[in-house]
Amino acid sequence: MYLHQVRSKRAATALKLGIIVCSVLTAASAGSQSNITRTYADYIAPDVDLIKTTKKTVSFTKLVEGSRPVVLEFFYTSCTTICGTQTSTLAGARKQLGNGITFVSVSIDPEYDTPARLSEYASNFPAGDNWHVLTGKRSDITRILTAFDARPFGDNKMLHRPYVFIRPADGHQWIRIEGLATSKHIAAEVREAIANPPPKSSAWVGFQKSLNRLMGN
Amino acid sequence: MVAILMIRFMPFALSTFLFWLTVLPVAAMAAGDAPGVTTDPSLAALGERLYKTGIGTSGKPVAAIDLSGQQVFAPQFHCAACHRNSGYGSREGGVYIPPIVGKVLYEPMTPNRARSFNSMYFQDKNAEMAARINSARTRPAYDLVTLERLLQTGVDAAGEQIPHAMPRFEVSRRDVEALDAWLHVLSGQPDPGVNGKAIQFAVIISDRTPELTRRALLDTTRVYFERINKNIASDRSRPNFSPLFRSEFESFWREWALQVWTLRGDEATWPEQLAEYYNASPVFAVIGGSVVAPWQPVGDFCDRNKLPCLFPLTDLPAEGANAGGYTLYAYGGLPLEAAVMAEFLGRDGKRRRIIQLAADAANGAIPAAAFGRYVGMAEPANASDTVQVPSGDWDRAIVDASRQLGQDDVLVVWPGSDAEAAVAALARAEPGTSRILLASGAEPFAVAKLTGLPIADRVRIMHPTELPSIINPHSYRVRAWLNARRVVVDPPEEQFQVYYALSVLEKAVMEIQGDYSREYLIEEIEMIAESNLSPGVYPNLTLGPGQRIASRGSYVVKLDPNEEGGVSLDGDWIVP
Repeated sequence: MYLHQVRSKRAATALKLGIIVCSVLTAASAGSQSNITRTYADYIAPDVDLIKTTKKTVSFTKLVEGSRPVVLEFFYTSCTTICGTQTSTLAGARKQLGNGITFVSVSIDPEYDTPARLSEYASNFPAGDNWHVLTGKRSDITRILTAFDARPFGDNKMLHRPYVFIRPADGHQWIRIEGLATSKHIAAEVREAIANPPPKSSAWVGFQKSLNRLMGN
Repeated sequence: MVAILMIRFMPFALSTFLFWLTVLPVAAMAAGDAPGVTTDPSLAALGERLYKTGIGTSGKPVAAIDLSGQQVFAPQFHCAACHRNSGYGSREGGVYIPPIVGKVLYEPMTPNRARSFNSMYFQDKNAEMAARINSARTRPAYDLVTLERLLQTGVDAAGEQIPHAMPRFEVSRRDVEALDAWLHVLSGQPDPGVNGKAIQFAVIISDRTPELTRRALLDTTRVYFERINKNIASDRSRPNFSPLFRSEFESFWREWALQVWTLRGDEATWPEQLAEYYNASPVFAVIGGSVVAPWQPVGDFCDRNKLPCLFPLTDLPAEGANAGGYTLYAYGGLPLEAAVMAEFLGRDGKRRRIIQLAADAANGAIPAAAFGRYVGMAEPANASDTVQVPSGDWDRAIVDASRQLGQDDVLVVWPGSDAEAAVAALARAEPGTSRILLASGAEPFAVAKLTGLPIADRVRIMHPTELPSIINPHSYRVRAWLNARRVVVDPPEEQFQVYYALSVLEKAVMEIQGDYSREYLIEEIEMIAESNLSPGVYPNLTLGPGQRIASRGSYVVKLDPNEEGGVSLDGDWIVP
């Protein structure tokens, strides 16, 4: 009985994955989504404070570990290629999804991206109340990039990759999307994550988080 | 360079395939406009505006359509944002942005391994894309019709869909004509300072540059040039020395020729002297340099001539240094220290009286004026009085200031070249203020003379370089390299900075692959600066598109005899 349930679950998961792969392939044939990878991963967000466009600080952990769905990206304002496209994509997804989702954009060039510069960048895209465009200390941002396995090669920001991380709520794994997706694709991923959440975080991650809270990290 | 190294490890089959590609006709590399094309200057100016600012010929912004089909007007979607001011493109985030200068766009693309090198190694590729890039990709030359189709629909001159990282644009026929006119002239000729044999570089010094700095600069630069030129001569002495890769790039190489421009006398005459040097023998770029005066006249000269000036040894950058001029600075200098100092003081939110004692010279007056502005703008705003101190008058100035200041007030000292005398005066007067803030140049004297005195725990010093206890492993390599060439390493910080400038320049010259455009050189340096070349004088050296100052913060340190170098941190790295 148990084995049967597991098999059914696997079959359902395979079907879901198949649908996503098919949709990605369909998009690829249209020439727009030809190089996107999608995986699940457990990440432990470091407890660091980041700086908002208003110059006020905000706890990164509180932003991404609440009960609301979160979409997270890394970018920097003087980026020449993918950041504008990716931020524009997220802006489009946000429009489709409404205000119930927390969007977080973290600069990977914190010493250049001052709150004023972030504000100017965000003004080019329809960022709203629930879109947090953040900078911070270099060391803190390096910790976040390390935690999300997103550090660029040689810590050279010019070699960063286009990542979007999605999670429906704390306690679940993150969906890690690499590649330039469309806003429709991101919105569909968020809806799917809410309807059929990714696997639960492992017990080890829960233990680590509890330990971090106890240790004040 | 990375690309060149990577090909060493390519499978044999691919290497063989690429070898055969080289015997096929290669793309026209000759500089200049497409033959027979004349361009309307006013139309080209409209095209330049569209290229750089996204404003169309109608005077209204042209909409970009992103990969999701949304209309966007953001600067990130202007042509120059990705293809850059030079038109030679870029590579970032796994996306390769190809060159679109006239000599590439308006010529048929033939299997040219050198030209396609960057796309092979920097493009984010799935199997389909990899196959396309590694095959003998060709396309016809663009014309107005195919350029318009590309911009509007993303279909290239060969009828292939290009990646959606490039937006589509709602351009009119007139917009396309203007852009076409601009692309025909964009980076159309190699910039001055380079010919078929040599590429000219200059080091700018003045008659005020101390002998030690002059020697550090010139000796390091000369041995570096010798090494590069010997390598080129060695490769050229063996025809077909490396048929599978490096020999293909041989035609791009030029000998590096060094000119030393020494500025003399009054600073007001420097622009004229620089023009004279430049007119006699133009250079492609200026490396390092130390004039012991504000960099302003040299920076203005570089901006006027669109001449890259790479990492001069200066603590007085030109005004608006980070606004996109042609000088790249290692750090923000004394104005940056002033901003950090103001931020440091503002952290406890207290109001207090501040007196600044500033050397009666540019390296006193400029940071004092900057500090006055920053504390005036801070919350809460603080007023600061500035006293110009003539050389030899530090004792009187410090005693006078001490009398006026209470125990909660702050004394700021910008001693310029009088650091030793100013610190000695502080040791004698021992002001009773809550804080005594010093510019970084005073640190060695403060460590030697103030440590252990009752005022020591109230002294704070700006420290924009790496802490003495942290040594970057790369510095050992640089020191060994210099020692092996019998170059005296003294003072190491300056020599390491010169070495950094030279190694960044070497890598950038390698990457531009014979497209001798100064804009392109700067764009490459913006990309390379953060790679692993820094010998660690500053904790982080990073640039990016349009950025001009590589280190933008400073530590604040206190005197601490138990720590290496006699100082320890008071708080984190501050970026104002």
